[in-house]
Amino acid sequence: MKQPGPEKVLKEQKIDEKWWDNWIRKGGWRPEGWKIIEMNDGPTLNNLRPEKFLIVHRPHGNMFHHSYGKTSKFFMGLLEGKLYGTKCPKCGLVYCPPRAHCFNPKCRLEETKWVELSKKGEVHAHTVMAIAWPSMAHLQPLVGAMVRIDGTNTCLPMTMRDIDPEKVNIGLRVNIHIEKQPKGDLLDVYATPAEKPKAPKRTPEELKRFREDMEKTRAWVKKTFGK
Amino acid sequence: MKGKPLVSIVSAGLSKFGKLEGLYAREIFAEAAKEAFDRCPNLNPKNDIQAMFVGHMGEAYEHQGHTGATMADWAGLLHIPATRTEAACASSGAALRAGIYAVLSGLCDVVMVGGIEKMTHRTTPEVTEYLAMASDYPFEQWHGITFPGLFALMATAHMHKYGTTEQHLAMVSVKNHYHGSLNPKAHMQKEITLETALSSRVIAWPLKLYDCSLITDGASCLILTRPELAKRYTDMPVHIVGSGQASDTIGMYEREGFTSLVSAKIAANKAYEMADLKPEDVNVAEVHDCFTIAEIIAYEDLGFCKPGEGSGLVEKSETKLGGGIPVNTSGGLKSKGHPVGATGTAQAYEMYLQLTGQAEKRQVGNAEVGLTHNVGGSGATATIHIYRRG
Repeated sequence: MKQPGPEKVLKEQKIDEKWWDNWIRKGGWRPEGWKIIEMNDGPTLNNLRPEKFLIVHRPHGNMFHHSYGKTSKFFMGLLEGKLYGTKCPKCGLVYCPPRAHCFNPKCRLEETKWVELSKKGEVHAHTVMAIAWPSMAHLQPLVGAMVRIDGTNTCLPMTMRDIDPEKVNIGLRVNIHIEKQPKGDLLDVYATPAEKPKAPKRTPEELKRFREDMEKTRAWVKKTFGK
Repeated sequence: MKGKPLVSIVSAGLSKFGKLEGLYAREIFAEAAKEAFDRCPNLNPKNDIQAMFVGHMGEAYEHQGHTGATMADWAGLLHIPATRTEAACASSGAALRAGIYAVLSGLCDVVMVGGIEKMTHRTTPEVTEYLAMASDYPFEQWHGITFPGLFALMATAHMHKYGTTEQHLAMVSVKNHYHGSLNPKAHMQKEITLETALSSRVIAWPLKLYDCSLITDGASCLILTRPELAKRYTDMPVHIVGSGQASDTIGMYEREGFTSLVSAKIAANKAYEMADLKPEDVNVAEVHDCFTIAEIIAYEDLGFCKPGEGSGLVEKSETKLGGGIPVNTSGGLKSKGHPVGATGTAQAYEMYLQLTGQAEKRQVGNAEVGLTHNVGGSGATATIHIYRRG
């Protein structure tokens, strides 16, 4: 009988081994600095007294190697500019994000089949993010949307481009794109409007605030990242 | 079991909530444990407590896992069986539920349940990243969506469907800050105006800084026992009469709608049924206001109003102290703070104070029945508990 594994590398985008140099130089992640602080502490709020504490600054980082598991084909598809989902052969549900097994209780974890999807869809919910993971901070204000790709039964979260953040609305038809130089994660996928967007209802005061907020965010990004 | 007490809370403890920069999580937990022990002189912790369940979400914060044993050790309870429960922000709601299982199974007479999180020593982007671990890794986190982002998606869907406005969201924040100003253990004990909330920096539109709960350090715990043993420890027990927990898809993207949490509705129905009570029987509630929109959705999921009418409840001050059903009298996650692992049992701590008449300036008069609503992630877990004055 066949056993799972062993692995063999079919194709690779190698990481620059120098990535590690900084960390290795830190010498086993011993503290790089420290501070002594004083703060009020005590067993109850009525018994607080100033106490001293030592705080160290310790380098602590890693390169996270992980598999996309049975949904890998979706991400391999991105590397080739294609959008894949999965379909349950029993109940016909189409998943994107893909699931390797159908979660419809009637289907008892039936294995799904891969299908190529259209690059059109519709916005089901949206936001404009002005706080993001450190690696994405320069992209703010970042329009995030739940997009139902035509022919699927779920929504794929993705970012939106070429749209004024104030115009994003539920029901907007969108075209879905994949980055020209994909990296192999969901940020390779983005949507642009496929029709003239109709902004959600806002009072003049709300609109004024919204625009000020966007201006503040853009100014912060410019100050922090210089673009 | 319908309407009968499942277990009784005979004591409870809560650490100070805030930026406790110099302390370790375990030390903060010991502070909460000490309060619970001091409140209950008849309890001999070492002899009486037979098991401990402690909610904790992230070992990333302190690079410290194995939380069950660590907290039992620092609470002076060696060598009891101690287990960590993890369900994101509902970790200690799940710990409470585990404690109920332990007592009802007959295996334990007295258990300690609680929760802990130490967060403020990490930067906000780091905390945002760790919290995002409670959402789907490949398809939510890597679209760059943060927790404010996920709840903002719910907010835009709710606004679109029901006409909820940014003003309504801000009203939740103003109310919870008012309640928090009355709670000496709250992280942010200050009142704010509607204008402050509305003009604060946008985080994930429509959510602004004052729509988001606080990054907080804190711990909480409860001592549970079988109802028939409660009087041995206290004259003022609080009975838990209903308990519900449910799960939902880890990714929000597979849910049919974004304006309600199915897990919370299922868990609430179970808890109401077990308690033989209806939403209108509840006198005071603590709900999971990780973001202001979550509180409005909670009103609807818990049946305090019809779907879509949550904003009206806050607009009419129904959920403010003095209203028909005061919600988040502690200040909620918004003002009291949200040390994620500690939140579930911190909500139960507030119910313990309210139902034993010890909530001081924020006491709800004649509170007989209370409810807590604790949600993990974007609603993949919900734990609901119903309490009755003993």
